[in-house]
Amino acid sequence: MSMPSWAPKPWVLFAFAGALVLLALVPLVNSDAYWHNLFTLTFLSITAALAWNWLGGLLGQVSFGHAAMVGVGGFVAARLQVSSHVPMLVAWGVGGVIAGLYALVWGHPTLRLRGPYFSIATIGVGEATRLICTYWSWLTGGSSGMSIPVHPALKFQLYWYGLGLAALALIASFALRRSPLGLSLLAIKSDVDAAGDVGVSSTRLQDLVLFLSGMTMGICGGFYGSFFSFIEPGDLFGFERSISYVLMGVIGGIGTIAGPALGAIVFIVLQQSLIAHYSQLYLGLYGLFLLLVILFEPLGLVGLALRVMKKPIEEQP
Amino acid sequence: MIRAEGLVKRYGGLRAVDGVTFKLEPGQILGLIGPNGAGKSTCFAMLAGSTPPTEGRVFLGDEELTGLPAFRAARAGVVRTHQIVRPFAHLTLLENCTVAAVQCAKLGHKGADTFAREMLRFAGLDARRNDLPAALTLAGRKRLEMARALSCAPKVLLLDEVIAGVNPAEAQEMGTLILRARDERKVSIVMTEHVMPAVMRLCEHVVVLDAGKLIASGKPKEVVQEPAVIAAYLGKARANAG
Amino acid sequence: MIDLLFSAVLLAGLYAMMAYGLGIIYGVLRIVNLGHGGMIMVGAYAAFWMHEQFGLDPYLAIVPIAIASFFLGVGMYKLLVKRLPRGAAGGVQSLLLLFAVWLILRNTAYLLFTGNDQTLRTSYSTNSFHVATAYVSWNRLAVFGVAIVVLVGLHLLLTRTYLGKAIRAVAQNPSSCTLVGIPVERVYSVTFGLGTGLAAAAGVLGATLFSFNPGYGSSELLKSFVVVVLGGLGSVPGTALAALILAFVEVFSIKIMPSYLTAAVGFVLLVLVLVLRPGGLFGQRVLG
Repeated sequence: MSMPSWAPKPWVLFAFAGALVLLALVPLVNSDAYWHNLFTLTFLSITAALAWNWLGGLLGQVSFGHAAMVGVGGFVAARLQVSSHVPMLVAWGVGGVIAGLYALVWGHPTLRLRGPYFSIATIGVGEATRLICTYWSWLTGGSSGMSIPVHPALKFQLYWYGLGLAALALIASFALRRSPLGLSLLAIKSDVDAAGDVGVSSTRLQDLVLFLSGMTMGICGGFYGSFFSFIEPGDLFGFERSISYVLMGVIGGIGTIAGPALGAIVFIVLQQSLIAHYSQLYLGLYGLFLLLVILFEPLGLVGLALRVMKKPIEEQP
Repeated sequence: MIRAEGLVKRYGGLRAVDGVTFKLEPGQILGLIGPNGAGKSTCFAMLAGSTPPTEGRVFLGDEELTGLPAFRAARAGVVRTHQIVRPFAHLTLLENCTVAAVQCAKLGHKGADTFAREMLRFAGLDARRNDLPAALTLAGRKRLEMARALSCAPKVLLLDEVIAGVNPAEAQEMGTLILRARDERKVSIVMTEHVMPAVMRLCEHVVVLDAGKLIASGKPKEVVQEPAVIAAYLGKARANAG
Repeated sequence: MIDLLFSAVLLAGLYAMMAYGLGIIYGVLRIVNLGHGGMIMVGAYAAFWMHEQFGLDPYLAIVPIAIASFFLGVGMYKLLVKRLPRGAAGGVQSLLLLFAVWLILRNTAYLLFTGNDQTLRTSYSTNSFHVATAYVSWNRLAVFGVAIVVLVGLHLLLTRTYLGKAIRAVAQNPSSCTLVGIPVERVYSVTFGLGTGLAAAAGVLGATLFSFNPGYGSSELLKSFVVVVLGGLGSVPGTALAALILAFVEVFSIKIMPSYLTAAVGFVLLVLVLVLRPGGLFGQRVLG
């Protein structure tokens, strides 16, 4: 027995490394601002969608309120940079940790709820967080938001930060899924009581995933603030944002390793191509895709791809 | 090995289990039998940690397990299977067992993988280790329950009606598997079962419950001849018929 | 003080009616209808459109809109919801499916009516009358009246008619129902239609009270959920009591915080209720 069953196949490793190198080199040959920014935004969405999937797909608890952590992380980072002149990356980190802790605060008691009830609670959490944080203008600058000054050179470099984040998130997704932790999470997802019967401590593991997922969303919030130099609570905490993560995750392939990344790419592509003439259409279009996925291809785009390549489907949504 | 003292479980006004005491010796296969509704599953649940006893205590050797949540009981070495099979649908057979090995048997990932394969081989499922449980028949899934429980490297195995619901040939094989588990894997076993031939064949000692109370204890052949036991089983039938 | 009291009571009527649409679907089909908010929005826009196009008074429009929404709901059930596994396995899937329906409904409303806030003003929208020291708007009273009529009618339907008994039987034990010849699938589709019809009717009433846009319905969905979880399933007195509690909390919290935060009160209440008191006021469990 050479390689353990959970190690990545060699060609996957090569493809991943190759893609990383290529993507890293793109800005050096092409200085088109539009594509540069689009790619950066895509890396950000990939990271967020993957982080959402750790809770939604691996643990099986679909959150409709994940924007709450993006907002918390984003505004903490912004406030730190603006009021205390904390360096950008440190601010992102602190924002991330606080967002992760916030996720624990609401998530730990709420994860006792199963399935749809947890999801409904997350809608409440997301919206309550938005309203309360909008009111708490010390943190957020009220409904008019906050500006974060970012040096233009640094802004250009955000591309590579984004690429790095996305790569880390993908590696983390892979490691999570294939590691004993991932197996335990899927066991909890399958049958939480039976998981306990074979020694899985579900509360501890759920807390871990909550924190990791929340922290990553928080870091994304910080990134978002630095990228746009301006954030407002209605957008960062918004229900639309939370919905987008659900859509990216489920349409891409909930529970799969890279599905949400695919979902994020398609989401952004669609959003960009419709923005010119049919800017409000994409949400409804995505609703239609979601419908089709749920009815016909529960593993989303990944499932579709596996089917087309006639590979066995080793996952279940 | 495992000792239950004065176990009581109350649900509101109902005493599902009313003062049950028994002992499992190391290397023994103990049968827990009784008519429907006697409290066997509830006893089981209290031993495994699925539900805490209202009164009474549970010991594993000298260690007290009373009221510990299921995952702690499992890590201490008391693992149960389920009457209605509960495989991890999202994991392959191998992964089902690897999880157990990692969490209970405290093995590293690679070691757990190896041990899990060994248990699957023991249960005759190694060839299908990369399948999802949905691909198995009921008998296959019952074997998976066994293999997964054994992957925990338990000291005590609690088998909840593993034999019921499969055809006679499979039942015979399950029985052999249980005996091999005791001999090769060195586990002590408590099993509840309705299928009497299996009880006769496998259990060295039997404990009979009726309406939450322990009414008999001893060798299977002797116990089933006791008037109290016969009355318990037939009494229900007579009451239902009359 | 007195007018706050009146406001709360009258609002409770609307909340109770909205919640019932959600509750009956959950109670019988064990499905959380995330499209509930969408149907409320549909009712509001339908009333608006009928008023703009034909000058039809919303209180008259309720009946045809409710009926049309009933059939829409039946269609939704037969085409979409039916295909999914019921129970624990299908829980999140049906949630996502109905969520998708909501997105589509929202976008359709956006395309047809734009995203601007709309209001439904009738000649009597602002009329009110005096009771003790308070002003009570006729409109709110009428909304309350309709809600009471509907709820009483529902109660009678569920307790006195064959359909109602069939619905309650299916809610308790679907497999036994097939044994005694109750057409379970038909009960499911009728119940789903009832739920959507109620939601749309509530939307019509809501349109007479509040302004709305395609996003209308999302906080109503959550409030309905609070009422359902607090009040227990299918229990009319429970629903009524829970609706009163919610309405009171909302109305009186306006005294202590800015108006847009009062919505947050509802959301926080929702999370608290789900986590702390999943058994509802009358002891029915919502956990798993």
